[in-house]
Amino acid sequence: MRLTINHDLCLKSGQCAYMQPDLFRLDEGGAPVVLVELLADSDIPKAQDAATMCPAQAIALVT
Amino acid sequence: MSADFDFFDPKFQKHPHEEFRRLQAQCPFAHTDNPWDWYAVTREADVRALLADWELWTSNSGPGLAHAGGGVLVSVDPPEHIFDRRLINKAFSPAQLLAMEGDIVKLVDELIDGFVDKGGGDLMQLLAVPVPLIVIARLLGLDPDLVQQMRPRADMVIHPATPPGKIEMGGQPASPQGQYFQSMIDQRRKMLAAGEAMPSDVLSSLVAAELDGRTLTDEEVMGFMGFLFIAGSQTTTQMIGSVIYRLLQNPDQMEKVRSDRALIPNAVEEGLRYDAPVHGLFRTNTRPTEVHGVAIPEDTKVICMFGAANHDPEFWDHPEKFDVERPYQQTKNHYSFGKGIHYCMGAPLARLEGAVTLRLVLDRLPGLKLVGEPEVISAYVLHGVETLPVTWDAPAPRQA
Repeated sequence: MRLTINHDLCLKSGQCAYMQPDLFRLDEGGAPVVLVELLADSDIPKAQDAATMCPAQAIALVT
Repeated sequence: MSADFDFFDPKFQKHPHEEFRRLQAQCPFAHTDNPWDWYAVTREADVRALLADWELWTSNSGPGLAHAGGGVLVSVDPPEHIFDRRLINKAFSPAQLLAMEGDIVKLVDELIDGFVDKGGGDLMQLLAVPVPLIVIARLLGLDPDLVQQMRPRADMVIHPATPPGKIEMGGQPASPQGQYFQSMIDQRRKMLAAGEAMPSDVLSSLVAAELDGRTLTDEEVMGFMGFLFIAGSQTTTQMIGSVIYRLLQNPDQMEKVRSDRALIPNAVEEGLRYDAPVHGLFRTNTRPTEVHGVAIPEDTKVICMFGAANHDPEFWDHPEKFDVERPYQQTKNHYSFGKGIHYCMGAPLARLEGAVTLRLVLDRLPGLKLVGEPEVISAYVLHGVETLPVTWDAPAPRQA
């Protein structure tokens, strides 16, 4: 599973880095950066949580 | 002590963007002593930096000047805040909104049915006030007719002149709103205890919620309900009012949206940027710090002026132009929903209500025009219009 952000949809609310700091960080402009692109099984629930909590629905888990 | 600006000057409330521009250029960390000492940051870079650093700039002392203590979401930082957001997130998720869109269209259509023959009136009272109130009431599980009678006034809640302890964030038990909320909570608790199926709404989620093995107290449920009720109604009212007002004020922009409905989301977003429904919200520093060379002690109130960041010429091209063709990828970076951990949970709902209302206004009120100057809201951090006097071409009476 790969973790992706659609930056066209992203609203830079910062919720992903807030909810799941192991998987995301914010750059200086407040845009999210994926820290773990290839997800270990143990990271998948965290990634799903971030995808659920994103107000822009910009986060996806793709196979 | 000297003051760099007076937030309570009616002139400021009437022309906030001019005042923001002056502060950005001359006084980026502005001080005032009305009603007591506080500061304001107005540059986009400063607003961004403060909102990002929630450990230094806490919300635990509330988003306003005065704070009664306690509170939910907007008034707490992690770890409580994470629990609060997860608890409420489902109600405002895009999947939930998709399910609500048809109901919102139907609601706006029915409201317009009720007044379209009149050919004129105050669009705030006719649409901008009732739409968000009824939508949030349904979402929370409240009776839309009842809550319209107790229209919450956010300015009463957050005005600094309101003595601490009198702040009705959750609706005090003695107030009609508090009594009503309490009766609803009691009813749901009985249903839960009896194992009956509860309606699918926020109130049910709150009553059933568990945190570390304990349930929410009545006071906590009331805190959520009171906050979401206020946050979900008046600010959206102002957003709808401002978007339509700016389009009416700029007929060339109105024409663009009329001829290309795909511009509706841009128009709503530009309206949000142009007129932040909330000028700004406060943060409080958890240790002594320095801003623009000014040393401030711990526990100083600093307001992050969203409305100023939305007009910062360092960040925006031609910020004073209301431009529905501004690229969405730029416009969406406005600060009207805040940024960072406290980013507005209701943002997707507000955008949806704005887009649906604007579309139906364009479809069903042809020839819409302003007849007279709207009254401006003059209330502390709130920004928008109080009235929107308009006329439109009423449909011809139907043939019998």
